Amino acid sequence: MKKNIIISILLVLVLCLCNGKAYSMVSVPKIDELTYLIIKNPDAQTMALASGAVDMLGDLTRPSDIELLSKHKNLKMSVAPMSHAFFLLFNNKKTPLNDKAIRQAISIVIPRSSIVRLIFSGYSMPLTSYLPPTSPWAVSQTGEAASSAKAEEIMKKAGYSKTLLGKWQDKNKRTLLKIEILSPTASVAPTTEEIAKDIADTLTAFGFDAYVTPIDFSTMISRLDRRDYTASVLAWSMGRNPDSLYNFYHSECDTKGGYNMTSVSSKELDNVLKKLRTAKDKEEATLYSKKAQEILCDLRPMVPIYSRMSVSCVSDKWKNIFSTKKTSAVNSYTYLFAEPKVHKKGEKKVLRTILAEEPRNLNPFVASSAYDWEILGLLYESLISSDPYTMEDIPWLASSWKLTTDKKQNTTTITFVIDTSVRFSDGSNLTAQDVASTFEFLKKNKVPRFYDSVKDIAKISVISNNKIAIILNGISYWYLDKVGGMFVMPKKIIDSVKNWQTWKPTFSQLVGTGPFVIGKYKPGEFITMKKNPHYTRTKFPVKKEDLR
Amino acid sequence: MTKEYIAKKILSALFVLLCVIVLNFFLFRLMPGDAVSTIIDPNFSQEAKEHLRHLYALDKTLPEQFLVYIKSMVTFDFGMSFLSQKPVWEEIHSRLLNTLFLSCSVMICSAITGIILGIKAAYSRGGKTEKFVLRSAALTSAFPSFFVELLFLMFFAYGLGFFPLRGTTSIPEPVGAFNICIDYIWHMALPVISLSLLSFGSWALYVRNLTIKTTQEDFVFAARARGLSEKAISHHIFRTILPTIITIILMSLPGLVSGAVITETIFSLRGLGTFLLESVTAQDYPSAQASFFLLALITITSNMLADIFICVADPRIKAEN
Amino acid sequence: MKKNLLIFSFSLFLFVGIFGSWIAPYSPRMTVAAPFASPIWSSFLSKNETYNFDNALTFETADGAPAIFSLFGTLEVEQKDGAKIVLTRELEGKTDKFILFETKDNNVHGIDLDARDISFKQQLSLAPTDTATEFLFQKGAKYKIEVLGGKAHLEMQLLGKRFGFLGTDHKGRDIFSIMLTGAKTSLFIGISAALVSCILGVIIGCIAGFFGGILDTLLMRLCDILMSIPTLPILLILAAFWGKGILQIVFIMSIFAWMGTARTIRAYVKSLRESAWVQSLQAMGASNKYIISRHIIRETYPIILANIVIGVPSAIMGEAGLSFLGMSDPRIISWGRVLHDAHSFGAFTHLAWWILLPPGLAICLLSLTFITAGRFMEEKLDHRLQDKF
Repeated sequence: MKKNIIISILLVLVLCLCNGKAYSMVSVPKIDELTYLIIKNPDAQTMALASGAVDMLGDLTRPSDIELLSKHKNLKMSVAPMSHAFFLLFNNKKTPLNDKAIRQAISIVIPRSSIVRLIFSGYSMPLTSYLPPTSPWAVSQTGEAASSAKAEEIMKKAGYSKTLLGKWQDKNKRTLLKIEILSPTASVAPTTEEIAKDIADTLTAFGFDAYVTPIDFSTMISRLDRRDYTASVLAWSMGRNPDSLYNFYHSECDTKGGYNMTSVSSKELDNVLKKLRTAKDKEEATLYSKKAQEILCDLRPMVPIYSRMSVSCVSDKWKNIFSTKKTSAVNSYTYLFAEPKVHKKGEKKVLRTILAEEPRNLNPFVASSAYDWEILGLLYESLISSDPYTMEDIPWLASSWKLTTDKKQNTTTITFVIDTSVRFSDGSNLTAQDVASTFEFLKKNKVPRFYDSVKDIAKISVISNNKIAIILNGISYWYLDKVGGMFVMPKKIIDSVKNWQTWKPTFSQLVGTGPFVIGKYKPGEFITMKKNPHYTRTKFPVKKEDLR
Repeated sequence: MTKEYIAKKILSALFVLLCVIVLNFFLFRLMPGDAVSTIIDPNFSQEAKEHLRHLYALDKTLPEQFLVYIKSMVTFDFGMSFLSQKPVWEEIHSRLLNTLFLSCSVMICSAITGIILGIKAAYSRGGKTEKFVLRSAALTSAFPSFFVELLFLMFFAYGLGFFPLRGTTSIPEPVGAFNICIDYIWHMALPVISLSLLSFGSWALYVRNLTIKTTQEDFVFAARARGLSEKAISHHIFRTILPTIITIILMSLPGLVSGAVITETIFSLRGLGTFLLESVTAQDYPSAQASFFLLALITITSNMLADIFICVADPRIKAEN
Repeated sequence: MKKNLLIFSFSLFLFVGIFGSWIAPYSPRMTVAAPFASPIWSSFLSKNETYNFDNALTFETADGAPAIFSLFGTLEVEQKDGAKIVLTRELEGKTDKFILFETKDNNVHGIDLDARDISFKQQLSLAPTDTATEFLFQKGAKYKIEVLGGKAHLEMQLLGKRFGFLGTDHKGRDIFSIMLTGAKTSLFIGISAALVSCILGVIIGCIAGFFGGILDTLLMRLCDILMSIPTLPILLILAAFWGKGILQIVFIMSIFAWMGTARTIRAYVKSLRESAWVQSLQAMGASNKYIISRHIIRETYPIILANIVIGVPSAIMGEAGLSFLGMSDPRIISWGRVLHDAHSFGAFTHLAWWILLPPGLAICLLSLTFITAGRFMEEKLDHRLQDKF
């Protein structure tokens, strides 16, 4: 009898483990400590990894490092796309770039694969779409190879011809004006300047008169703001959602300091972008995002060149590293599940990785750099998260939600059901009041980093201990992600903050629902994260076969 | 007479400091662009940027900003850093220790080595020590400091692995005050050794020249005639040249502190030099101004102290003035 | 340093500075070989080879795997079921076949294959971070590359792991050519910065020393203020502020280097002013302008020359320091910039000593040459001064 019970329990366990999704029978995170070594110098980072002083490194940028480390026996490499995008911007109001044909020709003649080879030794993706490759809304790219023949066809059709010296001239036999390409200096962005030079050389060989002017980054931005430029190169990280296209390409945003730096002004595009921004559901969103990208691919107000890929490196002394074709090995799920392959009983399990720059400020209201949020992102969670395979919204701190729109009042109401079994790192349970007080605080104080996400909130009403309704002005499908993506702090901590700008939280005040808490921080050297003892989440959207 | 002289020196130092303060302000405000304009993030709208500008007081007029600035410099409350939103003083004082330790160790090491070698060279004229001092002084003054540091880094740290590659502590941190000290010294060893190797040459040469000049003075001749032992004479000579040496030590401090930028960059040390470099690159005015001000303050103070000291200690120079 | 050696070194640098860019074997800005290729005399790694062929080619890799493999050209498909490009490897009796390119349609294709492309590695079922050239090419193997099912004109490049007299940098540019071209910049900046600062110092020193009074006090105050500003930080800030071209750097460095010369000249001119012959000139009715320009400046020539020669090494090292920190125009090739690239682009992890040593040693030798020359001049000057008084 006893034997049967034991066998059936074991069977249940085995069945659970064999399931597609991983259910952790032991609490996560599995490691005791996560240490970030602060190493700025890329040489020192590579050597730290090669000598075993750290166990993993996230974003390797130099191809020479990648090649060196990939030859190492004890290191595993993984490559995945990122939401980075690099563009060649045109001032659509300046000759000769105000002619669509010229912009299209330039887009076709730029040798993206050869740039990727020469400068990144192959570790980047040539980009022809306006959304980064990681976005599920990106229109799939055609692998068009650079072709000067096709570009010449487009130019000739538009009425341009070549002079005896091989330079393009317009219908009135006047040679085209020079194209000055602004670029940040090599000290700020070493590869950017080289790429700008290669582009200028290609355009010159094709028949334009192009050259590069490297200038100080903030000078360049102020010139772009004033639209005092002809062409420029610039890169940035884009969010997942295509509603940001509005900021970049709608004519309303063509103001001083606005993001429409290319001065695009097309009635058709404006219309579609506005409809995209106020789309009321997924179908409308998909339809308009596709249309918007089609128009952009025809207009070519700026030309996408490449998107950097994330190359990460993990020591093979660790197992359960989560990586897929879309996510590189260094991610939050790895931090949760990673375990050393060989482990002596009683020894602390410490995973060591590298932070390229110091986290300057750990006050979540003020912290702005990616490195601050690398740390803070492990402490706090949001209502909604995204599935690493499909990029769809999945419940996280909110177990379910409902989005309704009211056309007459022109409002959107999102009702969240909060999962109150989640506990903060100080042991208290998560309630709707915590969510409400966090959002209200951010809105009342107009905290800059979150301003765009909360500015449309009209009213927050706590319906019960686990239900909250957020009413926003206007109708938009994107409100869900905006509101659902913000972090949540406990009400008692929020109430204790007198001045959010000068707030210097102690580590015990950085209370969140995330899997880690800050242990020790030595400025300039390292920061150690400890396991959150009250982290009880057990279901995660990861497939067992991707934990290697 | 001495008091008047000291007062005069202090006043002139203060005047110089004032000019540097004003220069400091305009230097950064006249740079194009500001810290907020470089944020390019589709999720950070125009409105949000304007809010940030207001936070940083970048929307006040220039005279208003100048008054705020003067107040902050005088009270040593340098305001908040744009990059980290923490008080600048907090950022600086954790870094000041590393820079001062580096500069002082180099100063002491090279001075002591130089003095010992220089005196030895002066006493054994034409001998091996003198030849060594002359040659090394000539050679080491030609080497750019960063090249030697890069060489040492590549050879001893990357190649042979005798020294750590970066930083001031190992991870995990050693336990116990003694171990922490040893670890710190091991990390600082390579920068200090490479810089000292470059500066001891000119020290030794200078001390040698000074000693030779002093031995040719009348009082030494007279002392020998009186029958003093060589040891006693050498003590007298040393006492004579000591004030000059101390003055030179004081005057070498500013050069070391300002040259620390390169050393700290190469060895990834967390100090005032890298702080200045980062703040300038990121247009973080409060931080850049504060670090520049501190460096200038150290320079002016060292020069002033050197001037005062040499007059107080060596009456001959006072008479010349 | 012996006198003959000094003269030889001086003239060598002058020659390289003037004619460097003409005698450089390759253009210093073009990628001519694989990144981090070691010097050709340093070891027995693979060399560069280029082949042009139509449909088939046999070759060997005697020295080992190349660093870069690329295939460029056109392929016209002739057979109905498509065409492919196959690489066959024979090593110690084993034969392996690799399909580098395959197409099922009937068009004319532009071939642009490179072993660094992720798509190329995927075609060979390799992971994106594997090195395809190490996988395909081995030492001592025999290869045949052929086009099946079509007509092609192809160029194959095997860029080897060693190249040039001093190897290559992270972008595959020849270091020897860069060194020869960069001499011009370092020499120009060094000499002009020293010249300009000396001229400034002479003018200010003369005025202060000759006229005395308030002008003297004001100018010396200015001297004090500028000397109290820490040099490297202010150079950093001004370079970030004013831009990083050659002329800007010369200008910035000169502003902070004239103080020493000014002080020396001022003291000298002051003593001259009290001397008998200047007083006699004044008695004869000569104007101040005449006295200064015709007589006093002449007297200061030796000091000026000595100061220029001594000022050159610190100007060169200042420029190298600024370039190393990244505060110089990256379009201009200079020795300091090579050191900066070495530090930022991974020369250390590759232990690429050929990138680090040549610029550093060149700067040292140049400084040494000028310092020794300066010492010679100072000795001569000392005698002259002592003779006069």
